[in-house]
Amino acid sequence: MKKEKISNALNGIDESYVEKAANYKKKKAFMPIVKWGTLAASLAIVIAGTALIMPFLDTSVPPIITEETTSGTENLSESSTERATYTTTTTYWATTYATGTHETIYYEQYFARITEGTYKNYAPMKALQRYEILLGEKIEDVTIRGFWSTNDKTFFEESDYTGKEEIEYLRAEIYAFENISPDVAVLVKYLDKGEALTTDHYYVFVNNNVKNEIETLSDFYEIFNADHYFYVKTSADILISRPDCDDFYKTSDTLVRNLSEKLLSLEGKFLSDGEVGQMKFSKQLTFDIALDSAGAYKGYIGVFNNGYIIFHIYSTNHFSFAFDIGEENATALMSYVEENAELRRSNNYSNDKDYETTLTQTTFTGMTVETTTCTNDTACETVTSAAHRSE
Amino acid sequence: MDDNQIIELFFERNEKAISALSQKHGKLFRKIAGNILKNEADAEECINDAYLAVWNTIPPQKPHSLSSFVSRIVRNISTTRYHHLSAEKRNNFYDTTLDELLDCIPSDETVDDDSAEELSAALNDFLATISEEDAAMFMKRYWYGETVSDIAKEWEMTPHYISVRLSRIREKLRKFLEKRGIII
Repeated sequence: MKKEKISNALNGIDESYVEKAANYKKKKAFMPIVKWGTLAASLAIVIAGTALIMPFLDTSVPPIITEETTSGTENLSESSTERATYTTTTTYWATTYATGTHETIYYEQYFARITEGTYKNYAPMKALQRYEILLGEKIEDVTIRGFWSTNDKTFFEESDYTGKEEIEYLRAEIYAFENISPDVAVLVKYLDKGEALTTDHYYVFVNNNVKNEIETLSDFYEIFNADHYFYVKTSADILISRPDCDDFYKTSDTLVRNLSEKLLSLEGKFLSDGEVGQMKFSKQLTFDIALDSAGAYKGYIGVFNNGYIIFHIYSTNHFSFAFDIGEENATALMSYVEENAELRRSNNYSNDKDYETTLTQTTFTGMTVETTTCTNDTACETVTSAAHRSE
Repeated sequence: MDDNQIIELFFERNEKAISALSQKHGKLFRKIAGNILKNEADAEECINDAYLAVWNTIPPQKPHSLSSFVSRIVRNISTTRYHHLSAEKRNNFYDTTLDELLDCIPSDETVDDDSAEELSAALNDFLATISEEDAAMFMKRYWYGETVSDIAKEWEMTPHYISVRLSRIREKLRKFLEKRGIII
């Protein structure tokens, strides 16, 4: 009866929303990621503590990020996905997000662009504290144009700028990272405090064409100085997904240190988006990483049993870097986790009485996902196609 | 033929109105009914019932948006059929959709039937408080009954992204309803 009431209540929703939804066109999408996405698994990951990804996945409107230590964080739980209105004199739309130890203030409707010169098209990414970086030489002075909307208009990209928004021009200095070429990424230090920017942080700006610099996994590590900036995080469980089961493993300092070392010792060929789009796999290992030099506020790695590894870097932009490390290496990483990490819990779908009818076999072709119904047995024997339980 | 011309045909009591409507928007209606019923024959029957209802409703009504107007009728008929059928057998797909919402709406067995209307009003108010994109996503999932995969494909996002986004919207809804004291 309750469901019927909800269903009836939905029928009473205004026609305007019905119409808007039917005609709604997503303006800007992330680069598609080849990844399983069962509803159950997604929610479970969030609960497990990967919640940090949420506001930054929500970057159809890229946020500009700053961090501030506050005393109000203890009221919000570590796994909270809640956004609370943050009372501050500096903004009207700032929202807060708790990570357990500090709050992150980010802005949904603010854009910063370098107005001219070599770094004009670099993508603004994470804001870093001075102690988090190896600071190189100052390169030049620039002007940054910041603009933002103060109304409800959704602001997707710079081209949406209509001239009616608020705008500010800020003086800033560009610095190099030590040991990282300015052709890859630079740091911006503001001299003027902006609406959504501080003068205390160093903002990473990454070359949108950075992929052109990469042919191998070693190149990737080298250009971002991974020896210094890359590590596997303990912030979330490690997930191993198979067609009929999601396993969540606890992290530990030793485990992530060893995993980091293993990853840094790997070699592999860079893969184009097209090659990644056509990948097939039946097992995936996922865990969180840090890579500040790439401006990653949220980073995670997907390792697939077909031998592919994909680094996902999220901040105001999303970059993904894929490499072929070989099936043997990929499988070894999975085995290492399975053998050394403590299993926290499993979501097993094979005992689901509806499993046989709801299981779907999924094939990734290009950037689309084609699903066809198959039987439980067939799917479990399938190694060349990904499969997941339909939501 | 545009929607106004089709509406004109209804006003003229010209039966071509039905075929024109079906030709232009039939695919959408089949999708809505199909998302709820997951059975082609049932869906087709509901759509035909909906066309009859439209025939009997226009005139006197002259909808502002023909597709939304008929979509609503298709949805109403399909959900009625669904609830009738679900008394006999479980429809896993639409049940799952409703289950997601059920989790975020406070419940009390003792409250009576007025709550659907109250909930409708609250849902309308809630949709006005969230972004257009979130509202569209909410409607796609819970009004049109589209799967997470379908929405992800249409919006060129990952299913994971859509799932996470929906869970956040539901959480907002839960808090909104709590604040309103809505119980079903």
